[in-house]
Amino acid sequence: MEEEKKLSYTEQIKELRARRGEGSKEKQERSKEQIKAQKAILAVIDKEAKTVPEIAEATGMNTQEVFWWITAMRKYNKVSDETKKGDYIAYRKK
Amino acid sequence: MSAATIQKKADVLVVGAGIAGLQASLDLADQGKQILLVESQPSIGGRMINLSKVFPTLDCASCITTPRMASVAHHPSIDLLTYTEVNKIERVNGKFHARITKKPRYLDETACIGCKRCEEACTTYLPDEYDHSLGAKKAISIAFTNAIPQYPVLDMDECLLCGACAKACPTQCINFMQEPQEIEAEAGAVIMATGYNLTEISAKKQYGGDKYPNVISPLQMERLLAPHGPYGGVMRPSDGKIPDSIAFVQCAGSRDKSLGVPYCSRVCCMYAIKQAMLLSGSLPIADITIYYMDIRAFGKGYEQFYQNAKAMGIQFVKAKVGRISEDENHNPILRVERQEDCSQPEDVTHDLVMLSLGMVPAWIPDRDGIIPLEIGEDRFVRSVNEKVTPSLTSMEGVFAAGTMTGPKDIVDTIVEAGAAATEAANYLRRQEGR
Repeated sequence: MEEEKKLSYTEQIKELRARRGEGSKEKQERSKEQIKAQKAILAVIDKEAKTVPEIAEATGMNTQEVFWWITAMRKYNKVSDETKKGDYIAYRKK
Repeated sequence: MSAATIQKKADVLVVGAGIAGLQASLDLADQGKQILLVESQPSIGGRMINLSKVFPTLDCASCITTPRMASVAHHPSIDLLTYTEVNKIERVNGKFHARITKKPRYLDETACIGCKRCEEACTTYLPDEYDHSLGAKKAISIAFTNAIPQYPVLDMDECLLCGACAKACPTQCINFMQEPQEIEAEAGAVIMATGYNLTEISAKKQYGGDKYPNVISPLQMERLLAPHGPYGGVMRPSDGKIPDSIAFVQCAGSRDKSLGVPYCSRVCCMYAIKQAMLLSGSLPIADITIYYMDIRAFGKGYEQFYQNAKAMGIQFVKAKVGRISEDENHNPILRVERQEDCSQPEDVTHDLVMLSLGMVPAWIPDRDGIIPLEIGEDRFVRSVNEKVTPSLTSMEGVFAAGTMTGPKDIVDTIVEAGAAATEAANYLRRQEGR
């Protein structure tokens, strides 16, 4: 364990990626999809606050997925609650 | 024993740092006993820290739990191990020997300052188990805001190995190569406080709990009602709509032989009533309906709590829910057969439905190993003298605290944890006198 600690971060990552093999690529693809989904949502609520159904309509994503991403980005300070529109909250990019 | 194995010694080994384990540890530590407290999760606090408020007083659950968590973490007589599993406990010559594994968080806990910069830098989002997947967390994250200890865990299975967390860390505490740490412990007595799980939401196929996004579990409802819940208010998971019509389906995981849970879980009526009252407070114009078989309000002040809920306008409908389906807008449709007045089956549509799931033991000795305690027909650990000393198990020197011996509410859990601590202290004194 002591020997392992002496490895630099770059060496640690290199070794772990080699152990993972193809698994690393799958995870990178998933990450790209996540970034794409966030960008698509943030683009819709950049200028104007919108509700989950409105964002879903604009992005072509389903409402459940949009709401999960809104929840995630709200937690990590990328999105804020703006106004109430009917039975929904409208969200806006921070 | 490997060279890296750590040796520990304590008067009492406490397994589980939920409210029962915390209370038992504090009671014993305040008597001067040395405690080794082991928790499998990244933070102490158990289920209770996850709840919004408690019945029948509607006190904030976190306000009761957090001071105990802090006391345990700072108590000089309590050695706390989190994110650590107990693998085996054996009794040899009157002493208990435990084999324990501290799981890797992939960081050096002595260097981490809990600044969360690693979490901010991480780009991988995952469902957050603390919010029962309603919310999100990062691949490296601290369990929740008031978690103790404030160390993150890196989910190595999901980590991209991008190195962003390591670059952001001001103390260079990330260690991607960290291995599990083996620990051997010796103790004079053991308190098991391993708690409960809820029955699976998918168990009753006809309710579609695993298919329909707006059919949720009691712990998900707790998170919706919590001040720091994932949505910042009560909304439904399918589209963020603030619900106008909410239903509770009682006995959706208890009193059901087909699920292997023929017993009453005792607390479901009360937690459903509590949640209904809290919903009524946050959504004053919403229709709230509880479909029930019987209301079991058994504790002090519980009947009054039930009567108060009725007075607040919560509808109690004595009925059996045969099945749940959903319409094109994900509104759950309940097939209801009333047991009073008209018994003609009818379909009732709601915006959101909570299934009152039952309690099952989180740890079952003959399934999960560790220590061979006897269990009852209900699979909970058997108390050998339930009426007089409920914390006594089938093994001398091993005591049970909380819901591991059967479903019970928080009040009874805390009382029984105190009883387990007293029994353990008495046992140690008898052993010393031998």
